Amino acid sequence: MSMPMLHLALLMSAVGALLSLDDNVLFRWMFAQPIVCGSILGLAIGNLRLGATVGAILQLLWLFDVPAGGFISIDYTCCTTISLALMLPLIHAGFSMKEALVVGLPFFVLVGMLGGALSSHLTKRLRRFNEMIVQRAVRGVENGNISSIWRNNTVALLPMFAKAFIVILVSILAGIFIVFPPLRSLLRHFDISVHGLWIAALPAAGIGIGLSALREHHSIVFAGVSMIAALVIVRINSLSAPIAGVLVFLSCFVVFLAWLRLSPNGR
Amino acid sequence: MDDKPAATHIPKRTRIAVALRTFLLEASWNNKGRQNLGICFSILPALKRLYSGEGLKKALKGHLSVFNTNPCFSGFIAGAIIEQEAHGRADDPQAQPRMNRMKSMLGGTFGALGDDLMWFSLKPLLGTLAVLLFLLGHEWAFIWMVGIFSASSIMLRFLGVELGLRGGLAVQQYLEKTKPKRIAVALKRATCVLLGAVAGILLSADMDSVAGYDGAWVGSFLALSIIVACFALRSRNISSEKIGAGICALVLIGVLLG
Repeated sequence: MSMPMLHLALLMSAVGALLSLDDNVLFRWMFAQPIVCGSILGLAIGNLRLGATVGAILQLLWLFDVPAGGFISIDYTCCTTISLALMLPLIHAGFSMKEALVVGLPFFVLVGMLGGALSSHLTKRLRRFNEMIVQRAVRGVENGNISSIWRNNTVALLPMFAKAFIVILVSILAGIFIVFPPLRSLLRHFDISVHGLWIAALPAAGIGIGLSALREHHSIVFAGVSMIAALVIVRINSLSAPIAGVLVFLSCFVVFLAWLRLSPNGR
Repeated sequence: MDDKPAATHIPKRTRIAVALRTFLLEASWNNKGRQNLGICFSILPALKRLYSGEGLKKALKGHLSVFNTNPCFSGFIAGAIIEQEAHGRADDPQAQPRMNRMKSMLGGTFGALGDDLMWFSLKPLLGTLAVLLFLLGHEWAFIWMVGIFSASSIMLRFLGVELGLRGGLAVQQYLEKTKPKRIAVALKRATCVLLGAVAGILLSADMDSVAGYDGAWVGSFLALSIIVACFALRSRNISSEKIGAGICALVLIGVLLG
């Protein structure tokens, strides 16, 4: 592995770890969401398009997975960071973005999911470790040391950051050394020019999961109507992209208003 | 200052500090006390105004009991706790159990309300909106997601502290006026409609923004069948990550088989 690649892995691990804090311990400003995390990492490496594409592909999968209360979902920020970081050597090796997305991304998402699952497991452990931190704060208060409250509350951020950083870095390095070499030789032997449609597979899965999780009154009917409207609008070749976009949003708005009017109180 | 609560008026600077500190509510989330250290950390500037010495120690220890809520709505509870502390009597033996009951009740109420409104309504809507905008060619779509959600979160925390300090009635009136449950239903419906539009663009097989995606109609049917299959799988409580991993494996098999 070249030095720039190592620097890149360190940079992505640090930024990814910082962003992952947003989901469990910090602001909860959606920086940890795949599309946001992917775009920010894309900006950091100077390729916003790649970052946003990876983020958008993964975003819908975990639309309704929220680490609320005691529930800890898979660490999708780690997954996004690892997947995106592993795309870079493939692109540096001369593969087009489309080739990397079609054949590389599924491999890398699987590696990312393993990293994300490990990160979630470690988060559960760290939450037990936090019990000790709280006990230290209680002892501090009993001894009249009021500053132990803010000190211990802030100190608890460090293990979370270190955990995410190490998991991401190790997964990236493991991906580069274990997954990348066989994948690269595999790619040389396959003609992947006709498989562009596979890019849609993960977002399509996310849509199915999302609609299932929502289960609003008549949700399938209205989602179906807006789907057909968007399909027709985008298929009209004479429309320019901005006009098609505006028309898609207008059609969504009309369907939404009709839904509210037809069934105001929901289920 | 002595062990008794001081004046009920909390300076603006302290209220801002409390609202800002709620952003670290979950920093030390733990299985036993959940956000107990976080809520202590949040209300500490106000408690320092109300108590000193042994009184402050006693108040802080009292607030290290179990506490859990939705972080976006934590400002309401922080404000209500401070208001209660300011009006409570330090020598009242029932003050602590009453405070714990109030925290537990408000934590549960705002937890359920906040999870439904913020995590299961607003977040999915903004996520879908960002994806839709991206598919329509806007690479900076993520700004909308962060901007709208963080603005709502900041507004709720600052407003929450202010209303909480005015007491339970002000919070109740605010909730009656804004009708968060109806907002949540509307947001979920908007998410459904936007998910439909995203599906329409995927099925249109004309998605230039995603790396020259060039699927044919057969690809559209494949995407539609994946949507239906994943809907059915999720309905049977199969987790998102298992479905995602399965799809990745299928894609790889499909690619390798040509």
